[in-house]
Amino acid sequence: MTELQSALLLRRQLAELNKNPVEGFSAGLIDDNDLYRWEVLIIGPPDTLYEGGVFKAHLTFPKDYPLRPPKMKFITEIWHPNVDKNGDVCISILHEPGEDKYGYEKPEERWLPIHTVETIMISVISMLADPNGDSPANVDAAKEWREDRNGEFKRKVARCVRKSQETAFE
Amino acid sequence: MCVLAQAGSQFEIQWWPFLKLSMSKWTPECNIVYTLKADMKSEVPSDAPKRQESLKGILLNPEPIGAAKSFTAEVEMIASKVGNEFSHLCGDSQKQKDMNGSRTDQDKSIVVRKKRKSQQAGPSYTQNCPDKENQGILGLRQHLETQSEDNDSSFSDCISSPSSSLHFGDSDTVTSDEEKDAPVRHPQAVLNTTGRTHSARSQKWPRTEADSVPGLLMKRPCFHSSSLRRLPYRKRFVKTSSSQRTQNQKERILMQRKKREVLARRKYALLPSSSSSSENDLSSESSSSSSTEGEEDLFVSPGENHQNSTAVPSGSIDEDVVVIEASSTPQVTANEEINVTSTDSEVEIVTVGESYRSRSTLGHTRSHWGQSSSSHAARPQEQRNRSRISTVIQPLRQNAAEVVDLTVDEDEPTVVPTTSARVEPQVVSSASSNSSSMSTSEQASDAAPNVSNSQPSAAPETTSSLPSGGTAGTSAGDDIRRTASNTTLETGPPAMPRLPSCCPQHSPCGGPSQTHHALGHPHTSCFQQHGHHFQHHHHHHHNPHPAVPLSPSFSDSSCPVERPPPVPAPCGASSSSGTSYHDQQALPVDLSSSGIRSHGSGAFHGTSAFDPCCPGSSSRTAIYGHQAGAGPSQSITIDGYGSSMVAQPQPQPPPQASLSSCRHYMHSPYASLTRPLHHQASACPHSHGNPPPQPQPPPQVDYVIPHPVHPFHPSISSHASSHPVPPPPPTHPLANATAPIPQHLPATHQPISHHIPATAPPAQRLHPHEVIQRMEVQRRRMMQHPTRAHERPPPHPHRMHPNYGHGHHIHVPQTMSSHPRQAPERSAWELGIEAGVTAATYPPGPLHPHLAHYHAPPRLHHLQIGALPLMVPDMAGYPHIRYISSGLDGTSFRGPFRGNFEELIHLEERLGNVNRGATQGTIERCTYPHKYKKRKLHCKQDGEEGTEEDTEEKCTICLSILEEGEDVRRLPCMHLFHQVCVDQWLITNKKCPICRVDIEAQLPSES
Repeated sequence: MTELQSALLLRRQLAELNKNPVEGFSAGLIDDNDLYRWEVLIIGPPDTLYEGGVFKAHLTFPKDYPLRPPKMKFITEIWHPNVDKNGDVCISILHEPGEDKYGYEKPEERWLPIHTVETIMISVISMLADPNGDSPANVDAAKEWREDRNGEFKRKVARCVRKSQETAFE
Repeated sequence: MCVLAQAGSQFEIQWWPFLKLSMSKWTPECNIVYTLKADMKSEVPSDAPKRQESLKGILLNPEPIGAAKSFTAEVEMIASKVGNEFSHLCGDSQKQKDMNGSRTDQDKSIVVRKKRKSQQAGPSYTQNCPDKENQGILGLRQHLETQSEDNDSSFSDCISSPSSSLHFGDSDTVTSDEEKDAPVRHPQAVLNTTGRTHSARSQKWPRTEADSVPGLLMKRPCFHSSSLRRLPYRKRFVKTSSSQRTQNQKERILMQRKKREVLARRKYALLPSSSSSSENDLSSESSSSSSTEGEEDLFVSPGENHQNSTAVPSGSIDEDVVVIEASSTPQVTANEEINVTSTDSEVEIVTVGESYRSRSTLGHTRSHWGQSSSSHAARPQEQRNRSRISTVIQPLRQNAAEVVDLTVDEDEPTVVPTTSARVEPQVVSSASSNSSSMSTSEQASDAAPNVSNSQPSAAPETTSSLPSGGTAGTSAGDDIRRTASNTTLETGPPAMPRLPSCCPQHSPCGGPSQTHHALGHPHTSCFQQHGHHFQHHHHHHHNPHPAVPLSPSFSDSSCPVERPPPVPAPCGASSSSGTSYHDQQALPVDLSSSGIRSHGSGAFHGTSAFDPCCPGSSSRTAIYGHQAGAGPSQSITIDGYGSSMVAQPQPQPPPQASLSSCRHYMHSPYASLTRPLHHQASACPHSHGNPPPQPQPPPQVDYVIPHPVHPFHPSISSHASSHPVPPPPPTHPLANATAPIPQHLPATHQPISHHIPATAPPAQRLHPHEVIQRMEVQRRRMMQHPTRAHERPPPHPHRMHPNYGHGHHIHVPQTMSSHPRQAPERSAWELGIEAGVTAATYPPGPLHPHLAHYHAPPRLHHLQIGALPLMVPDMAGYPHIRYISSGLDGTSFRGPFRGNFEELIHLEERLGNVNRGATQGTIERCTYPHKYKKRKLHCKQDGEEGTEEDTEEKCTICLSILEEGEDVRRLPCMHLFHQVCVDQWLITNKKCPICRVDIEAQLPSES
């Protein structure tokens, strides 16, 4: 039932996204036979350091989705306080439901079964536009973001943007 | 005997508060203090040889040894309890023990003490603190000397505590000069009296030195953190006092200080380690406070005593302290003795002096005292100033002495001398036994002469006064010792003097501390006293002897604001110190006391004997002692203080102990008086907290009112805390030590705060009634003494004195002793006593605050003591109390707490998980499952939104449209989901997937 539900839900979402694309990203299956592995292209939000970038990311859904959140990993190198150097995205809504054992996140900020790829992507885009320096996944990036946002941080982001543009269409 | 015992009790009492304070605030510090003490001990050996040369040193040594032993034991205990934190301490303590063991000879210990004192516990402490683990006694000394900067830092820390003492002095602006003298006295040999006699000159030095010394010793070990906190205050106070002092006797002081510094340095070099070690060890708890005071003194000395400061700017404190000790201590001792004999209650005084002498190898102390007395004679004015100081000190020193002091203080310089003499004796005893003794004995000759040289007027006076007093005191002390070595030890007149002096300084902040400061040893003595107070409470019996030595150290530590903390720490340490003192005074007694001391609580018990503090503390101490197994000490304490003695039943070691307890009783009253005086003089909460507690206890008995006291306890909490802390220790030496320490910590910071948090709550919690009763009893006792204390603030010392002397000396303590052991009995007995006593004592409005403090401590003590056995379980039952009660306890309990916290965290996690989800029953109960068939109806019913299109609803979980007939569930928040979809979620998280509202949160509304 769960698997059915998750697959059904994912399929439904995929269909919906294909039918009504959401501005800012595009989503599709990595493997058309695997509803649980998605690939999304995120357009760098305008008026941000990431503007112009096209960042590829993979979403991996658990079988018991939507009870549990998917994992999102940037394939394209991206320099962001909330994206660790492996590309794993660290945002609260993608965290397992329940209490944050570290106390950084409020329960209400965590995963809910009503989240969809669309909501997740919106959150990620928001994250790109407004990094959360309080719970950095990339400490170095967070430090630069806090201390030298228009210097080193900007340069690194710009480099990532260029690289994403180069690799986006490969 | 009684006098001695009382004095010891007083000292103990004073110490208790400090200890409590220190304990409450300084559980960690307490540990440190212990370590410091241990270091001191370690140092002592090196010093010991030197001191051994001087008889005084021997006298001093016994106490130090005992103290060291007890400390070591306590330290070990603490270490075991504290674990990580104490590991260092343990090591130190062990080392110290080893040192002690090597020195086992009281002489050695005395020497060490003397050395320490001479060096001024301050430096040694500072050294200890920095070098705790590593440096040997000598090394410590060297460090102290060489590491002036380090010392300064430590001093600064210590100073914080000293600041409290300074505060006391400040409170006694007039006495500031005196206070200065007092400090000097302290350094010499808890020669507060001498310092007082020297008051103008010596006091300045003494204060600075004594404060610094004790502070150093005490503080350094324990008070890096605390001392830091306190530093500002102390410094301020010191400065203030110094300014005053400087005005009055700057020139003299400078001269004397320089000379003294030279002497003191010499002496310290020799003595500091031993004296400081012993004192520190003893007063390690108090030492923290005392150390702070010492630091303050040191600071003050720099400001006031530029000469000293020049010599040792950063280390100046130490130097000052040292100088003070060297010069003033001897004088102080002499003064004390002389004063004691000459002043009001000759007998008592004499006894005190004897006790002191006995404690601190009377001969040595006496000789020194004689010197100091001479110096005093030369310094009538100073004596006057001192008299004030002395008054403060006296309470601590001995009941009789205190009484005398009180009268003296108010009345005349001459009186003051007596008081000073008393103080000195105490100081001397403590100092002699500890560093002061060292200074007195060794330095006394040296310092006295030197001082006299440097400060011709002051020195001569002190010397003159000292000789007579010293001789008398020594003789008396010898007699006492002989008659009841235990008693002598217990009498802790030395301790008492120290305690009083220390207490006054500490508690008073300014005055007492100064006196203590003045007497580097005095501080130690103060610490000891404080320790005694605390310990006394624990060790009441021991107090006399140990108390003296211990008291100095304690007083020192305690004297500074931190003294209480130190005391707590000292509990073990103090007890040890107390034991050491006892040893000095009377080897047999010492042994018992030492045993008790080792118990730590035992020392306190002895202190309990000192009605004022002892009542509460004594009971506690007694308990401790009992627990510790120092039967004698406990018994003594019990005898001395009925309430405090309550604990005694357990300890009730030897008859001597009882005798000593009697003395303690006497002393306790005095102590209480002295404490009160100190308090008054200091006019600082601290003083009240520390000293008052002791005095109040006796009153408490009378005051039965303890109940009222109870109210105070909260405020007094600091004291109470300190006391409470002790109680735990009694149960377990470590615990005791720990408890005291915490109190000290708080105390060091500020008596009140410390006391309140640590002791009061715990004690109350532990054994509200019993504790309260005990507290009351102690208060009563204290009141008798405390009355003095009360008087201090209001200036009704005289009244208080008589009361203290009579009631406290004999009956109360005894009754207490009998009762103390048995908490229930205590309660009833105490209650009865309290009812009668309290009414009487309470009358003094001012007393109340003190009483409150006293009461608080007593309660704490009671709680601790009575509870000790009981407490342990109780404590277990109330971990919070323990934690709150004393840092030590906290430390001991920390483990549990930590574990608890961790467990709690885990539980929270578990619970959180559990709570997150909802059972099916809950889901069914809190939600409205139904068939969605009516969806259109819903739309129609619900809405007017109207259109059928809108009526189409989705399950936001599966994003599928709800079809008629589907099982849906409407949550309290009115959100609708498929039952299948939402149930899965609710099982893991009982919050609406959309709005996150807890389905159970709205049950009420819906239901």
